[in-house]
Amino acid sequence: MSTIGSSDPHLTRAGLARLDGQVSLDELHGRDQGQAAGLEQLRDTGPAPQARPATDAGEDVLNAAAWEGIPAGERLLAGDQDFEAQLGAMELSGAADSAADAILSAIG
Amino acid sequence: MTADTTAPPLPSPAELRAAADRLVSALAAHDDPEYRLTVLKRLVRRLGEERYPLFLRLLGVVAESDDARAQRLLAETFGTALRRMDMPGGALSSWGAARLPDPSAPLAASAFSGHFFGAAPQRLLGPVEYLTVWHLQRTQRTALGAETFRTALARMIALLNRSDDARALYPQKLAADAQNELEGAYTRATRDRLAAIAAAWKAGRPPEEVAQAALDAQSGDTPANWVVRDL
Repeated sequence: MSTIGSSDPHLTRAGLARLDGQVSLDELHGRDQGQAAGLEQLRDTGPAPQARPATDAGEDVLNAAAWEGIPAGERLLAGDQDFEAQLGAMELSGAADSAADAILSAIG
Repeated sequence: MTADTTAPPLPSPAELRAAADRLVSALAAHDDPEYRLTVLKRLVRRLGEERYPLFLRLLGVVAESDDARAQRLLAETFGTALRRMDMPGGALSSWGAARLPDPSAPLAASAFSGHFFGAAPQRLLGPVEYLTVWHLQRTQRTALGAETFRTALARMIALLNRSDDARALYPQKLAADAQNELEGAYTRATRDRLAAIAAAWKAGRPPEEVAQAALDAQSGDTPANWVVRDL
């Protein structure tokens, strides 16, 4: 059990340098005992660790079907003429922002 | 209180096609190449690191379509990105780079575990590099399976081939990346695969063969009896 990473200001590198050997690592270790006991009690009561999924959620997205049931040759992106005209009337930066928002809103 | 680790639901086919449709309409709204690249980059930024694969999937939806105009629009935008060396990239943790700890902050316990000297820094990778690193290297994501890698990479290359610039410049970039041993973004195995992709792509082989070449490539100098793990 380590207190490294705790919020104890003595345990920054600068804080340890200021102690200049006046405290041993055993003493630092001793400060942990109460906390360690508490954690031991928690060990048996916490939820079981979750197994890492066999496939990444991103891989499932890559494999998500998009054109099933639509025959080859008919897989066309007709475009949204109104949306295109609306963006075309905007200045470029605003249009790029609106475009990103609209694309995201299509996929929830 | 526990973090919500539930993955977002998969987009339906209709949602994917609608989003791809809007993406193409958005690119077509202005002729300015910088605007088109900005659309892609802002989309990637809004999606965030975790959902970069959804951006790749939208590119794949266009690649799978029969819409040559849509494919050219997207591919030419990647041509612009390659000329500017400013790809709409996704972040994966890199295996070799290190970041020194901040001396004014408390030392994190992770500094002494798997992420020596702090949290693993991440690098932005273009679509082809992202797929390759995701498949081959240990990153924050569960490794991408070989079949998905092959399919997604072949689609990506087919799409990018719609632009003369992308078809010429992307293999050059990959070949240059494959020769760079110093930066630490890629393992040796990844560099070998990137070199194989670059060579097959430059040679004009079909996208499926380019993807297969990546899977067939082997690291050349590993003794047969060594056990090697990609870091």
